[in-house]
Amino acid sequence: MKLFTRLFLVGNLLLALTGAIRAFPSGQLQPGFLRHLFDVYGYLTSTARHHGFFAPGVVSSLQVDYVLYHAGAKVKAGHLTTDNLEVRHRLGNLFNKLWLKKEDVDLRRAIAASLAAKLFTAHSGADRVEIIVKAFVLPSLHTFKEGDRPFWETSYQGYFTKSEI
Amino acid sequence: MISNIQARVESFFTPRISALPFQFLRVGTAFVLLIQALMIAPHLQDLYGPGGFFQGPLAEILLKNSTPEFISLEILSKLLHLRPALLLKLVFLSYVIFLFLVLTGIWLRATLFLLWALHGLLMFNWGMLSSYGVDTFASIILLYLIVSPKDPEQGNANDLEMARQRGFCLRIFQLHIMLAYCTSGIYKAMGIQWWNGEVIWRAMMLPGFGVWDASWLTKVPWLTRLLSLGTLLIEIGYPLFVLASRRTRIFVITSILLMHLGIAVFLGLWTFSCIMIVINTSLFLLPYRNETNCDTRRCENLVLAH
Repeated sequence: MKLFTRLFLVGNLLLALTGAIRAFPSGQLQPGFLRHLFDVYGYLTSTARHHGFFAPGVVSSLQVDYVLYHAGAKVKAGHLTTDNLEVRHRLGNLFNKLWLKKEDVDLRRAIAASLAAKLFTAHSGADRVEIIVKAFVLPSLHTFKEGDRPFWETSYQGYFTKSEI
Repeated sequence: MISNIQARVESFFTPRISALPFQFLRVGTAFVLLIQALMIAPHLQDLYGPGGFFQGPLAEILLKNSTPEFISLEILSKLLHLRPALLLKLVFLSYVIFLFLVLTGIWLRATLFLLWALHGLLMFNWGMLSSYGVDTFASIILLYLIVSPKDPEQGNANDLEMARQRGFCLRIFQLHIMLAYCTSGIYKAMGIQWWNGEVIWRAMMLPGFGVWDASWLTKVPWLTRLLSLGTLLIEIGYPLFVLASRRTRIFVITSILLMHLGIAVFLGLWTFSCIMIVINTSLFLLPYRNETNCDTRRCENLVLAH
């Protein structure tokens, strides 16, 4: 094997090590070409990623419900999900952005507005949509055993009209 | 003394490996990614397109702090004078075609490189918002497949040097995966849910993951703790178990395969689990497939050369 390839593999492994311990070089560099280079390489090769799957724990699930209206009358209601498991997980990752941005009220509304725009595209007859984001509150295993039951708690609710979007 | 250490290091990093592990890795990965692509295809624009659930400028705001700016599909669409949605369809179609070419082993070096580039283009644009572990490991695998020596049909299968080149590449990839499992286990150990078993309960009961009703776990609370502590043990100890002896390697790889099977069945993460099963089989089972009960170091030289 050519020396270059060997050096590349070792260098890539060392970068993966820095990514895994959350010390990827670009974080230490000033903004500029070199930092950008490390950033792009880190993302394309996933060496910048740490592998914290399900760590430090599992957060709650979010569900996005919607109610579509036309001239004040309810025309359709449902929630944004699918039976396709692969897509369902990816949608879950998307909707988790609403969870992460809980403190940022404006950004949360912008995210909800984007979902509303998507619904208006799919249901052209609707002129108003209500977006309800619910979080699944799961009791611990022990309190579940004692009788507590899970429930959905509304964490965001907003109305959007076609004209404002 | 020094030459002895040097010889041991050389022997550790350049075991002689047949083409089979990398062939299995290539075929297995391409097959899983093809299935994944078929599942994603009907929702392509929703997940990866500018008109998806998180549209245009909003996606850019959300991506700003998590991804570097490089070749975005939006910039590319302006350069090529194509609508972003159409460009996305073309990129995705090319991605599927290249997956098929990699699966069948046609023009491997070039197709693997282009597949890796297309995968990066899809995942690290709007697709980044919905990506998860399977995308991370797919990009890692594709990079090692690009760098790994050619398959025997294109090179000399019996060439000792070729077998050693493969061995070096495989060893570095093994270390990469050991690093991934070990650090993943350490990050898990920082959360209380992994020590009291709540993580298993939550993962299996939350609608985002759970596929089956798991309320039966309340009858066997010890099982959740056993599974979570067991996961910490095999993930943190993965490098040690893999390197210590044949028995510990078989124990940890069997446990890891069962864990990924469980993740697939109970949490519905089929593509992620299949990719991890392909990795573990390629790196830690197939290279040692002729291994019998013998001293570990002697086995390294006996079983890896065939």
